[in-house]
Amino acid sequence: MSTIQEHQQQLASVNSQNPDVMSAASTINQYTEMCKSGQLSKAEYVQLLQDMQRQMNIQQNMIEQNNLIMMNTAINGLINLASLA
Amino acid sequence: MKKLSLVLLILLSGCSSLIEAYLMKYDTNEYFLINDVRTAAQLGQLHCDDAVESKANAESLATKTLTLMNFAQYQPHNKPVQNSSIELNKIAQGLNDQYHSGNSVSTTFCRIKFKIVEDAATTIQQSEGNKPK
Repeated sequence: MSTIQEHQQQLASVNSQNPDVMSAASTINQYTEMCKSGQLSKAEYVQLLQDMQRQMNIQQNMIEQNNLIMMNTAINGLINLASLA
Repeated sequence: MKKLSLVLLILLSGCSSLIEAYLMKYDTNEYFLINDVRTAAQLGQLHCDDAVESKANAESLATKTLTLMNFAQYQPHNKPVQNSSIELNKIAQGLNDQYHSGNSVSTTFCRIKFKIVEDAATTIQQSEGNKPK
């Protein structure tokens, strides 16, 4: 069975170009330290880890929405240009 | 005529993303609800030292995220906000559940949870504000 230390080492060795991934790894390590020091209960710790996944889902959905917004701008711009021509 | 042809081309292209992009619209009510969640989460962080007040704030926040989730649920061409509001509600409901579980809730957990909701709502609001008006 793996230990908390092993997982913390895994998190510490995460080396991504994506700042969001690096930030998430750092946050998980902070939560783990808070749980070890008794600032967070185990139930609270588990919930915060689950929230990390939920936050990433929100992030992904908003990236998708931002792409759709850019497409909308481009489509309407092209329609306006075509109408003028 | 060219404009109509282009619109028809988009709608008939069968590309759902293109249709979603073309038909998406900014909604003042939705923006208000997201802002309401964000503001409540911001203020909630300031009262985490008071367990009684925080319990009431957590309940109120869960209600606000549920309202947003229900509002977005049947709006057409709004999948990203529908999905995000479900996740946001789960995050807020988790804090509310913790206060109603009978176990004590740490000040640290309270502050982190309200901050997570604030940050997530801000992310949604930033994107929402850029929707075509």
